[in-house]
Amino acid sequence: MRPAERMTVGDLCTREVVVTDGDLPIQDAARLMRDRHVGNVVLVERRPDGSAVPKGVITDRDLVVGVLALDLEHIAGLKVRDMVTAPVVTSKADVSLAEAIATMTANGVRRLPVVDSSGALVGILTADDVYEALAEQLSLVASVATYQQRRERRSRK
Amino acid sequence: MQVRDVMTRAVEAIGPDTSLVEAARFMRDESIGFLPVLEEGRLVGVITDRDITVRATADALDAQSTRVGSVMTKPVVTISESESIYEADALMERHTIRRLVVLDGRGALCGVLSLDDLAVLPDREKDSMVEP
Repeated sequence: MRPAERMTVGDLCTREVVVTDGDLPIQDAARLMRDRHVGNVVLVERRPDGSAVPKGVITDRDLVVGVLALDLEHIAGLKVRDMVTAPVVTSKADVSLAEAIATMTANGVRRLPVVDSSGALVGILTADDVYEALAEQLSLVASVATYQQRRERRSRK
Repeated sequence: MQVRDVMTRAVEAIGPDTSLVEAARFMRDESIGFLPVLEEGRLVGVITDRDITVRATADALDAQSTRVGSVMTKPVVTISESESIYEADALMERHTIRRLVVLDGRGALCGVLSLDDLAVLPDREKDSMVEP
């Protein structure tokens, strides 16, 4: 594993992203989240070359507090486009983990669609990915500390 | 370090007969996504914003007539407030969940511990978590 200061968003993000265009009905978005075991779906626009540009994110929570809480009578007619959080805050794949954390903090979001230099979607980085990466680093530090204690004990004998 | 030192206290709860529309409004207004479900003071389940999405919205259930009790998660994974945060972390991992309902010495609801509570601990506290 790379040292913490050189880990990039591209190293850590989840590469498999569930995407949709804006026309997907809300109920189908909920079904997609259930069947694909994800908490968010990224709304994308396709470019002529087939690559996808992120335009927004919709989460399981958005469906609850943004749709059900309003008691809309016509949930059936609502589409992802109507509910999505946009503009979307993204991260470039080649930036550092620290930079991504700063982006999350500054914008109050816990997930960032990750894009390449052309702006095409290549992954998604969530706060959970960040926790996992930091926890791994931390356990490395802890194992070094234990090793040093043992070595010190030996050298003092 | 114990669960009680980092958990969120004064937890809101909801009844099993509440409609999903009311539950959704409550979650919005209180800015929470996780509610213990209490029936006559007894913990009978938990409900999250995700439960509502994948068990109600996805199946086109009517949010006005569907009750919390029919889409909540049960049984609930709980932990005692006097347990160590290491044990809490292990319990979350074992059940692949990110929140635990915390019970006091008499078995009554006294808080909720989330993975986020553990993640934002000062580094020196987290150090103790990686040692078995």
